[in-house]
Amino acid sequence: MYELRKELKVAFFLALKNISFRKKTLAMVAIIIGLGFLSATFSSSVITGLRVMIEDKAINSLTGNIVLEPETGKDYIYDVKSIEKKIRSLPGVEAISPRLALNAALYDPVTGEKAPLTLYIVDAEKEAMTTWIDDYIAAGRFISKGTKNGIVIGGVLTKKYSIAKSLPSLDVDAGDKVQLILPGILSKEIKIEGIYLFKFVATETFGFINKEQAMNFLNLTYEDLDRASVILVKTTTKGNEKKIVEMMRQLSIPAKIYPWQEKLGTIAQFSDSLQIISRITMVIGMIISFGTIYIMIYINILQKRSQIGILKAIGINEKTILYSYIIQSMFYGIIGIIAGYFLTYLLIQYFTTHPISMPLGDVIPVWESSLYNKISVMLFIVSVMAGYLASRNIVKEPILDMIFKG
Amino acid sequence: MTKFVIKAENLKKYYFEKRSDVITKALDGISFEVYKGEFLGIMGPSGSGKSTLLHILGLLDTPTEGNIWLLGKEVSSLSDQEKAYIRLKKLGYVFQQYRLIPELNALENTALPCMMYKGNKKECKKKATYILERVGLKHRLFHYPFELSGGEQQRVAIARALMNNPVIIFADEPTANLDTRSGEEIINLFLDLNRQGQTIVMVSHEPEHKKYFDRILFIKDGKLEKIINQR
Ligand SMILES: Nc1ncnc2c1ncn2[C@@H]1O[C@H](COP(=O)(O)OP(=O)(O)OP(=O)(O)O)[C@@H](O)[C@H]1O
Ligand SMILES: [Mg+2]
Repeated sequence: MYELRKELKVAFFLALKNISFRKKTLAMVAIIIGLGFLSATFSSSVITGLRVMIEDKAINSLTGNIVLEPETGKDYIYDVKSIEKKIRSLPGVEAISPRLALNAALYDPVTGEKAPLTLYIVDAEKEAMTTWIDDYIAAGRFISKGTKNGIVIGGVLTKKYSIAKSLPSLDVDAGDKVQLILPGILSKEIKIEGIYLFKFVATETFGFINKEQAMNFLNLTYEDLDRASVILVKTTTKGNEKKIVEMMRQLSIPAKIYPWQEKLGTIAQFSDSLQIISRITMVIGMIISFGTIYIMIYINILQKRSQIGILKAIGINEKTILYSYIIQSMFYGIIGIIAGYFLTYLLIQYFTTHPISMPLGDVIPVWESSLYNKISVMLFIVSVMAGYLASRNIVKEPILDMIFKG
Repeated sequence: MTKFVIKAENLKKYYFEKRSDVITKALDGISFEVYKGEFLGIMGPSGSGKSTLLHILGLLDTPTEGNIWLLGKEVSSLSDQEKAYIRLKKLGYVFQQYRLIPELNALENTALPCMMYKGNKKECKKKATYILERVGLKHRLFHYPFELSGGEQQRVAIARALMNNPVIIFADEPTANLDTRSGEEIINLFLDLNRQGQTIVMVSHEPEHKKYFDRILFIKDGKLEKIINQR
């Protein structure tokens, strides 16, 4: 009787002949499955890209990779210099920027307008090494050690650059002079050294001045400045923060230490819900792929009805014919997945050089190998199932019906 | 001593027309034998049941009633898979419309039944080449069906039917689609094969074919009208 080995041989032979005889069908099926793959991969990659962008912006302006905060019940972290020294010795730490925060406001004596801000007293060099504020200067320049009487402010505080018009702002630009009001201290005239745009409201209501300036400007002493409201630590690679936090916690540093993930909880939740959306689009992509693969293969088999009848008439058994169509679907699936990888690659390449402009900033889709592999496996299974489901009933039809009824 | 390869007993095939409640008796109780090595003709008017009979003998269809013994073995009780295997190994079928696989060239079309039976592609292609030469298609091995004339396609179909050395070949009006000359060539091919010992059952309604058959079954309205023995 029939043997599996021979059945598979003949099935493979017939599948290969069928496919190579109709290259246009193959190309079409490949493109359709490829687009199904793309619809599953690309939305997820864009959303991951969006998440990464938001995280990176938050990390590089708000928290650093690791953030140190005052211990419970205290307003400041003290003894900052020695803390810095301890942390700097750890492997994986790239830069550290202690920030001393004051509540302040900018005041325009001409119009009488006032815009509150969080004023950070920083070491300009350290801040530049730790965060991206200096990279996003839209007008003027970032402060440096030598800057006298100058402040860098976020775009939201100016009418010209604000992306949140409802927040109070002044009609000023880089180079203009304004009044800086500090609680308990007289207001002082200060020059707007630069304006940074982060497209990120939460970090654009800040102003930065350097330590040297703060000393004579605000009558602060060295001891005063050995304090910090927050210390930002930049690590060499994103993702290894937890390990470094563990090491820091063993150094008995008088501060609370968190990796960015713990501080950016709401952002994490936000990206989780984005991830759910991308999973939904993925599932829909899968269902559409399944439908199209099934229909394509079903139509393909319907056209081959009389041929299947002939095969049966000359003694090819149903199993062999079924295998042949399953093998064809597998081919279609594999070619489609390859096409899908290729399309995804092209699209991601394109959007890497032409990022997608979103209100929060430019998004670059992220290549996600492990996700794509999962999608490939699913699409492959879907193809095989579609091939099986579409052919299993047709091969059982009576021979004469197939041959003569067309 | 049984010299017959097929014995058919009281074959009936009824079609029940659901819409009109009419019963078509395509075959209405036919009994006969096919002897080893003979060239048997089946003749009769259009709609008399010739094709129906051939389909049933060729295990492409099942009778409503009656039995068929192939080489002494009753076949109507066999499973679909077992019948398919008999078609593969013991029977060859030639259709009026050739019915080749369009995606396969002449050589592959011919070799296919052998590949299913033996599983050795190389050996089968060798044998197919030999058989195609025998039917006069040495120069058409790698042509696809759409590149072949009707007569050539029918030769490939015959070669395919011969592939597994069948005990019997069925042919349903194999020349009906061909011009006179090609038709004669095909008939001569069958005569050649028959001379070499091949048992053949052929349906025809061409009066000129009468002279070629060893015996002729005349069928009318699904019944056996007469059997003429010409040897
Ligand atoms: N599937 C079917 N359903 C209903 N009736 C059928 C079916 N197949 C055949 N018949 C009927 O059975 C009868 C015999 O048909 P068959 O095809 O065997 O005739 P035939 O002798 O081969 O005719 P021809 O010489 O025209 O080929 C005809 O009346 C035909 O209409
Ligand atoms: Mg007929």
